[in-house]
Amino acid sequence: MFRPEPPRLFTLNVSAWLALELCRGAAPGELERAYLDEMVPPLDAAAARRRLQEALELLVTNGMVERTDAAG
Amino acid sequence: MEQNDRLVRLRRLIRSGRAVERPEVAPLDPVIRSGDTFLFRDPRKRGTTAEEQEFVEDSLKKGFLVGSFIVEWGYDIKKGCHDKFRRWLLDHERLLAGSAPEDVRYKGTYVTTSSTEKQAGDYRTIWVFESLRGPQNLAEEVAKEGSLFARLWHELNQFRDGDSPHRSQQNYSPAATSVRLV
Repeated sequence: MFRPEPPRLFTLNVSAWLALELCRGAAPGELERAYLDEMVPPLDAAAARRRLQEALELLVTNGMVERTDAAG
Repeated sequence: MEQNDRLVRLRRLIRSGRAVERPEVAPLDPVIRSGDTFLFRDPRKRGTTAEEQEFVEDSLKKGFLVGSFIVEWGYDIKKGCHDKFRRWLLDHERLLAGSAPEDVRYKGTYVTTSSTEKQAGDYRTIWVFESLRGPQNLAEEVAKEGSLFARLWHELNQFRDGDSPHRSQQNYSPAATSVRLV
Protein backbone atom coordinates (compact mmCIF):
# COMPACT_ATOMS: atom_id res chain seq x y z
CA MET A 1 0.00 0.00 0.00
CA PHE A 2 1.33 3.46 -0.92
CA ARG A 3 0.93 6.36 1.50
CA PRO A 4 1.36 9.55 -0.52
CA GLU A 5 2.13 11.99 2.27
CA PRO A 6 4.85 11.54 3.33
CA PRO A 7 5.53 8.97 0.59
CA ARG A 8 6.12 5.47 1.89
CA LEU A 9 5.27 1.91 0.91
CA PHE A 10 3.78 -0.47 3.45
CA THR A 11 2.96 -4.15 3.60
CA LEU A 12 -0.20 -5.19 5.42
CA ASN A 13 -1.27 -8.65 6.45
CA VAL A 14 -4.82 -9.84 5.86
CA SER A 15 -6.44 -8.62 9.06
CA ALA A 16 -4.95 -5.12 8.67
CA TRP A 17 -5.70 -4.96 4.94
CA LEU A 18 -9.35 -5.87 5.52
CA ALA A 19 -9.72 -3.03 8.05
CA LEU A 20 -8.21 -0.59 5.59
CA GLU A 21 -10.56 -1.69 2.81
CA LEU A 22 -13.67 -1.47 4.94
CA CYS A 23 -13.01 1.80 6.72
CA ARG A 24 -13.21 4.05 3.68
CA GLY A 25 -15.99 6.49 4.53
CA ALA A 26 -17.57 4.14 7.06
CA ALA A 27 -18.92 5.20 10.46
CA PRO A 28 -17.38 3.25 13.38
CA GLY A 29 -20.51 1.11 13.85
CA GLU A 30 -20.71 0.27 10.15
CA LEU A 31 -17.03 -0.58 10.07
CA GLU A 32 -17.33 -2.94 13.02
CA ARG A 33 -20.34 -4.71 11.50
CA ALA A 34 -18.62 -5.10 8.15
CA TYR A 35 -15.38 -6.36 9.74
CA LEU A 36 -17.23 -8.91 11.88
CA ASP A 37 -19.24 -10.07 8.85
CA GLU A 38 -15.99 -11.02 7.15
CA MET A 39 -14.00 -12.30 10.13
CA VAL A 40 -16.57 -14.26 12.16
CA PRO A 41 -15.84 -17.08 11.60
CA PRO A 42 -12.91 -17.92 11.61
CA LEU A 43 -12.60 -15.65 14.70
CA ASP A 44 -15.24 -15.21 17.39
CA ALA A 45 -16.81 -11.76 17.70
CA ALA A 46 -14.71 -10.61 20.66
CA ALA A 47 -11.45 -11.60 18.97
CA ALA A 48 -12.52 -9.94 15.73
CA ARG A 49 -13.30 -6.67 17.58
CA ARG A 50 -9.85 -6.77 19.18
CA ARG A 51 -8.25 -7.37 15.78
CA LEU A 52 -10.14 -4.40 14.34
CA GLN A 53 -9.04 -2.10 17.15
CA GLU A 54 -5.42 -3.22 16.77
CA ALA A 55 -5.61 -2.76 13.00
CA LEU A 56 -7.08 0.73 13.29
CA GLU A 57 -4.41 1.79 15.77
CA LEU A 58 -1.72 0.64 13.34
CA LEU A 59 -3.38 2.32 10.36
CA VAL A 60 -3.84 5.63 12.21
CA THR A 61 -0.33 5.54 13.71
CA ASN A 62 1.17 5.04 10.25
CA GLY A 63 -0.91 7.82 8.72
CA MET A 64 -2.91 5.58 6.43
CA VAL A 65 -6.36 6.49 7.76
CA GLU A 66 -7.74 9.31 9.86
CA ARG A 67 -10.96 9.85 11.69
CA THR A 68 -13.16 12.62 10.36
CA ASP A 69 -16.31 14.21 11.76
CA ALA A 70 -18.29 13.09 8.73
CA ALA A 71 -17.50 9.46 9.52
CA GLY A 72 -18.58 9.97 13.12
CA MET B 1 -7.70 -3.48 -8.76
CA GLU B 2 -11.20 -2.31 -7.79
CA GLN B 3 -12.36 -2.50 -4.18
CA ASN B 4 -14.77 -5.35 -4.95
CA ASP B 5 -11.92 -7.35 -6.49
CA ARG B 6 -9.79 -6.67 -3.45
CA LEU B 7 -12.58 -7.83 -1.13
CA VAL B 8 -13.01 -11.03 -3.16
CA ARG B 9 -9.31 -11.68 -2.82
CA LEU B 10 -9.39 -10.89 0.90
CA ARG B 11 -12.29 -13.30 1.44
CA ARG B 12 -10.31 -16.04 -0.27
CA LEU B 13 -7.36 -15.33 2.03
CA ILE B 14 -9.63 -15.32 5.09
CA ARG B 15 -11.07 -18.69 4.06
CA SER B 16 -7.53 -20.05 3.64
CA GLY B 17 -6.84 -19.30 7.30
CA ARG B 18 -4.67 -16.21 6.97
CA ALA B 19 -6.95 -13.89 8.89
CA VAL B 20 -6.26 -15.29 12.33
CA GLU B 21 -2.95 -13.47 12.61
CA ARG B 22 -2.80 -10.22 14.55
CA PRO B 23 -2.81 -7.15 12.29
CA GLU B 24 0.55 -6.08 10.97
CA VAL B 25 1.51 -2.91 9.10
CA ALA B 26 5.18 -2.63 8.21
CA PRO B 27 7.08 -0.05 6.16
CA LEU B 28 8.56 -1.52 3.01
CA ASP B 29 11.96 -0.48 1.70
CA PRO B 30 12.00 -1.61 -1.91
CA VAL B 31 15.23 -2.85 -3.42
CA ILE B 32 15.27 -2.39 -7.17
CA ARG B 33 17.85 -4.44 -9.03
CA SER B 34 17.61 -3.60 -12.66
CA GLY B 35 19.41 -5.53 -15.35
CA ASP B 36 21.57 -2.65 -16.48
CA THR B 37 24.85 -3.70 -14.92
CA PHE B 38 25.84 -6.53 -17.23
CA LEU B 39 25.43 -6.99 -20.96
CA PHE B 40 22.94 -9.71 -21.85
CA ARG B 41 24.51 -12.03 -24.40
CA ASP B 42 25.18 -15.65 -25.22
CA PRO B 43 28.72 -16.48 -24.00
CA ARG B 44 29.06 -19.19 -26.64
CA LYS B 45 28.33 -16.98 -29.64
CA ARG B 46 30.07 -14.24 -31.58
CA GLY B 47 31.03 -11.24 -29.49
CA THR B 48 32.97 -13.40 -27.05
CA THR B 49 36.53 -14.51 -27.56
CA ALA B 50 37.46 -18.02 -28.66
CA GLU B 51 39.01 -18.55 -25.22
CA GLU B 52 35.76 -17.58 -23.51
CA GLN B 53 33.68 -19.79 -25.76
CA GLU B 54 36.01 -22.73 -25.17
CA PHE B 55 35.95 -22.02 -21.43
CA VAL B 56 32.15 -22.19 -21.31
CA GLU B 57 31.96 -25.33 -23.48
CA ASP B 58 34.59 -27.12 -21.42
CA SER B 59 33.14 -26.02 -18.09
CA LEU B 60 29.69 -27.20 -19.07
CA LYS B 61 31.10 -30.56 -20.15
CA LYS B 62 32.98 -30.89 -16.87
CA GLY B 63 29.75 -30.07 -15.09
CA PHE B 64 30.84 -27.34 -12.69
CA LEU B 65 29.23 -24.55 -14.67
CA VAL B 66 25.45 -24.74 -14.34
CA GLY B 67 24.64 -23.10 -17.67
CA SER B 68 24.88 -20.08 -19.93
CA PHE B 69 21.54 -18.63 -18.83
CA ILE B 70 20.18 -19.58 -15.43
CA VAL B 71 16.73 -18.61 -14.23
CA GLU B 72 15.82 -18.99 -10.58
CA TRP B 73 12.20 -18.80 -9.48
CA GLY B 74 11.46 -18.05 -5.83
CA TYR B 75 7.97 -18.65 -4.51
CA ASP B 76 5.75 -19.99 -1.77
CA ILE B 77 3.39 -22.88 -2.32
CA LYS B 78 -0.24 -22.94 -1.22
CA LYS B 79 -0.73 -23.35 2.50
CA GLY B 80 -0.75 -26.94 3.74
CA CYS B 81 0.48 -28.32 0.41
CA HIS B 82 4.11 -29.13 1.24
CA ASP B 83 3.63 -32.90 1.52
CA LYS B 84 1.50 -33.02 -1.59
CA PHE B 85 4.10 -30.94 -3.45
CA ARG B 86 6.92 -33.19 -2.25
CA ARG B 87 4.97 -36.24 -3.45
CA TRP B 88 4.37 -34.58 -6.81
CA LEU B 89 8.09 -33.88 -7.17
CA LEU B 90 9.00 -37.47 -6.30
CA ASP B 91 6.58 -38.74 -8.92
CA HIS B 92 7.06 -36.17 -11.68
CA GLU B 93 10.29 -34.21 -11.35
CA ARG B 94 12.32 -36.61 -13.46
CA LEU B 95 9.61 -36.64 -16.13
CA LEU B 96 9.62 -32.84 -16.17
CA ALA B 97 13.39 -32.81 -16.64
CA GLY B 98 13.24 -35.52 -19.29
CA SER B 99 10.51 -33.87 -21.34
CA ALA B 100 11.99 -30.35 -21.44
CA PRO B 101 12.26 -28.93 -24.97
CA GLU B 102 15.54 -28.39 -26.79
CA ASP B 103 17.90 -25.91 -25.12
CA VAL B 104 15.84 -25.92 -21.91
CA ARG B 105 17.00 -27.81 -18.85
CA TYR B 106 15.16 -28.27 -15.58
CA LYS B 107 17.70 -28.20 -12.74
CA GLY B 108 15.51 -29.05 -9.81
CA THR B 109 13.31 -27.55 -7.15
CA TYR B 110 14.70 -26.74 -3.73
CA VAL B 111 13.62 -25.45 -0.36
CA THR B 112 15.53 -22.57 1.20
CA THR B 113 16.90 -23.89 4.47
CA SER B 114 18.24 -20.41 5.21
CA SER B 115 18.22 -17.09 3.38
CA THR B 116 18.83 -13.41 3.96
CA GLU B 117 16.06 -12.59 1.45
CA LYS B 118 12.79 -12.28 3.33
CA GLN B 119 10.54 -11.74 0.32
CA ALA B 120 11.89 -14.33 -2.09
CA GLY B 121 9.72 -17.29 -1.04
CA ASP B 122 10.59 -20.62 0.57
CA TYR B 123 10.99 -22.64 -2.64
CA ARG B 124 13.30 -22.29 -5.62
CA THR B 125 13.09 -23.83 -9.07
CA ILE B 126 16.10 -23.56 -11.34
CA TRP B 127 15.97 -23.53 -15.13
CA VAL B 128 18.84 -23.35 -17.59
CA PHE B 129 18.69 -22.17 -21.17
CA GLU B 130 21.46 -23.56 -23.34
CA SER B 131 21.04 -20.75 -25.85
CA LEU B 132 18.77 -17.83 -26.63
CA ARG B 133 16.50 -20.29 -28.44
CA GLY B 134 15.69 -21.80 -25.04
CA PRO B 135 13.14 -19.20 -23.85
CA GLN B 136 11.36 -19.32 -27.21
CA ASN B 137 11.28 -23.13 -27.21
CA LEU B 138 9.95 -23.06 -23.66
CA ALA B 139 7.15 -20.63 -24.52
CA GLU B 140 6.21 -22.70 -27.56
CA GLU B 141 6.20 -25.99 -25.65
CA VAL B 142 4.09 -24.84 -22.71
CA ALA B 143 1.43 -23.63 -25.15
CA LYS B 144 1.39 -26.93 -27.03
CA GLU B 145 -1.75 -29.03 -26.58
CA GLY B 146 -1.05 -32.60 -25.49
CA SER B 147 2.56 -31.88 -24.49
CA LEU B 148 3.72 -33.87 -21.45
CA PHE B 149 6.12 -31.09 -20.52
CA ALA B 150 3.32 -28.50 -20.74
CA ARG B 151 1.09 -30.57 -18.45
CA LEU B 152 3.85 -31.02 -15.87
CA TRP B 153 4.84 -27.35 -16.11
CA HIS B 154 1.26 -26.31 -15.37
CA GLU B 155 0.95 -28.83 -12.54
CA LEU B 156 4.14 -27.49 -10.94
CA ASN B 157 2.86 -23.93 -11.21
CA GLN B 158 -0.51 -24.88 -9.73
CA PHE B 159 1.27 -25.47 -6.42
CA ARG B 160 2.56 -21.91 -6.36
CA ASP B 161 0.67 -19.54 -4.09
CA GLY B 162 -0.37 -16.62 -6.27
CA ASP B 163 -1.64 -14.73 -3.25
CA SER B 164 1.67 -14.82 -1.41
CA PRO B 165 3.71 -11.60 -1.59
CA HIS B 166 6.86 -13.73 -1.42
CA ARG B 167 8.08 -14.37 -4.92
CA SER B 168 11.15 -13.53 -6.94
CA GLN B 169 13.05 -14.27 -10.10
CA GLN B 170 16.78 -14.05 -10.65
CA ASN B 171 18.59 -14.48 -13.96
CA TYR B 172 22.28 -15.38 -14.01
CA SER B 173 25.05 -15.73 -16.55
CA PRO B 174 28.64 -16.96 -16.04
CA ALA B 175 30.78 -14.22 -14.49
CA ALA B 176 33.94 -15.42 -16.25
CA THR B 177 32.58 -14.35 -19.62
CA SER B 178 30.51 -11.35 -18.54
CA VAL B 179 30.79 -7.76 -19.71
CA ARG B 180 30.18 -5.16 -17.03
CA LEU B 181 28.66 -1.93 -18.31
CA VAL B 182 29.09 0.29 -15.26
